[in-house]
Amino acid sequence: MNILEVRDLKVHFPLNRRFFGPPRDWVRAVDGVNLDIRRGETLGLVGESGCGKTTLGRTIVRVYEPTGGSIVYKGVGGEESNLALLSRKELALFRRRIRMIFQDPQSSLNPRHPVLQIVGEPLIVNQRMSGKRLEERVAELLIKVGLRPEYLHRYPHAFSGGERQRIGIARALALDPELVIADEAVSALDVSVQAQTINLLMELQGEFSLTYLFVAHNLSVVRHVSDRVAVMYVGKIVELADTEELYTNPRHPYTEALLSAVPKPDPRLRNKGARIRLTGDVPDPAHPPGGCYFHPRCRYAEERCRVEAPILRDITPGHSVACHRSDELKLLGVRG
Amino acid sequence: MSAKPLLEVENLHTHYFTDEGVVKAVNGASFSLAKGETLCLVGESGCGKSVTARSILQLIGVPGRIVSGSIRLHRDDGVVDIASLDARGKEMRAIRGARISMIFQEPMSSLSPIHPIGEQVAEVIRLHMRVEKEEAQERAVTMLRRVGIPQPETRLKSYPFEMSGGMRQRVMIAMALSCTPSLLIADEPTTALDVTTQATILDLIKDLQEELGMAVLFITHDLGVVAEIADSVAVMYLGQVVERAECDAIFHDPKHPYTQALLRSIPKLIVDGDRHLESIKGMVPHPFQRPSGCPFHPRCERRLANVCATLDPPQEWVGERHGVSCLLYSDVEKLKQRQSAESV
Repeated sequence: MNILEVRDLKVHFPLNRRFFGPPRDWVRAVDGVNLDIRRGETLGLVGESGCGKTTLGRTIVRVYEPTGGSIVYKGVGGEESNLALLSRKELALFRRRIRMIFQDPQSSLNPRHPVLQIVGEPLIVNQRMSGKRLEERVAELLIKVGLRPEYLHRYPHAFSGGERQRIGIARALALDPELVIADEAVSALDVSVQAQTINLLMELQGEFSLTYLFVAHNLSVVRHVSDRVAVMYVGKIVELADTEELYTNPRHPYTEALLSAVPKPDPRLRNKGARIRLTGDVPDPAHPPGGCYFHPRCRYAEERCRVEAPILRDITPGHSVACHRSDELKLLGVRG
Repeated sequence: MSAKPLLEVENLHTHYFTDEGVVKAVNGASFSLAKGETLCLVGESGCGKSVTARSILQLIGVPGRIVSGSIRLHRDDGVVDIASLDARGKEMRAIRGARISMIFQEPMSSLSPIHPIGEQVAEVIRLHMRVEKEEAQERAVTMLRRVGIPQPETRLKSYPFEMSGGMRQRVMIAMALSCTPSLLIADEPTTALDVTTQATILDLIKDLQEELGMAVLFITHDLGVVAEIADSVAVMYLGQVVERAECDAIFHDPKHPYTQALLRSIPKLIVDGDRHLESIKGMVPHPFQRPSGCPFHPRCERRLANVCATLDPPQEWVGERHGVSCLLYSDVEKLKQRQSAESV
């Protein structure tokens, strides 16, 4: 059962805005994304910087206004609401159910507020909680994320990076959300702390039956936490499959290249297997190339790829890919 | 790989004297680097790896200072101890940028935003070599072409903001290598880049290293990158090198409990069943609250009661080129005797 159904979502930002008349150009940060998130799963969203993964995550919570398309949220009882069309007032209910965890705990926590206020803010705003009850609830949340409840009155500067990220997680959990969008939630952390935080997120998922949209660029981390993975390139989803399937049997040349670029933590695997090196940069989303956006960097590109844009289609149940040649190509995944 | 040493760092101490107390950023680090070798310095943030690198170039700002230890650089005309040189002196300035050069994590903040990149590369060349402006310009073009910047003649006039992250890092590499240094220090040069760009930059550094025969001191926290490029590895924790060995030994026969724990905590592309990651409990201690004895003992699963908290672990050689600073590999009784003899 799906918790969220994103259909043909477009987020375009105006560029070179003029004083009168329409803007000259648009950055197509998210350009026609279709995506289902199932209740209780972790959906990984990967891609290079500038591919639109953060914009997609933020648009779901309506930090950015969608230009077109729909974001349908399905409640436990089956009721449906299109988040893209709701007014600010109507959105308030869903702001409780969908929460975000940000990448940089340094800049997402107000340095002038104590933990009590940072974590308690959603409770104060949404449930008018105050005084003793608020303190108890925040202390309870701190324990859940592995922080000492005595730290209630400390300020963010008194915590390490990993602890700050836990504060961010506690804040996200304050209102018992259903869907949590974790935007590069562990990217800024050191390996040992990163492992602790990943474990914490997975434990909390079981305990509170959370659904995660896990946005990240680190493919090893995504493999660890995700049930399914979507790969994004220049505002579009190019491949989506179960984690195991996507990593061992990628069907899009971009996914293959991404996987082959990940450094493997074993010197004995060095120089083994064909390395694929992508040349050139990610295209400018304001002026993407014609046809398949990936064709200038694709080593399998042929004439058709230059003119005709591929659409995302199912090739096997649960595995969809946007590539003209996915049926004929033999692509390498991760072995082992 | 020749066994001839190029750089030997011994018992280096770099401390910062702040108003709140002394931060012992580097506290007795030792390692050596042979000609043409790639040494990876790994560790978590705050372990002192960047300060070590900056000490080698004498780039420590106030209130920091190299307190003791030596950094011996072997040159054709003899050995020089960098730690004893005047940071602003003529000799140090001749080493910095020419013999040893450095690239940084964030190329945008190390390049000047108001000068075209051609001018910036040519400036380094003119500083260290007696060449005319035109010749420096030509060399800059050659270097930019060598690092894979398309149409370098026209790109000379570009400003850093007009380039992508990967291209900027290439410009930094061109600058760093324009005087053919014998040692390149790369401080997290690929951390801010995407995996695909990272892979091409690592390839580029490797190719250039082979071509120019320089040694590379590569600082990173990413063990995947280490496995890809290192000849040997030094693992740092709280300002000390706790284990150093050849790359294969670090990954397949790690001795120090910290190295072992670090390796277990990395998420891998190949997952077998269990999705729970082993993690190191606790966190890196605050610099003002350094544990006594072995700096890792409060987080260590194999610590010895009454031993690890009191004795400083000396470096022991467990293999030909495999050193480890852990009391599990030391003769504890002997150390205790020596310590009590010293205190008398």
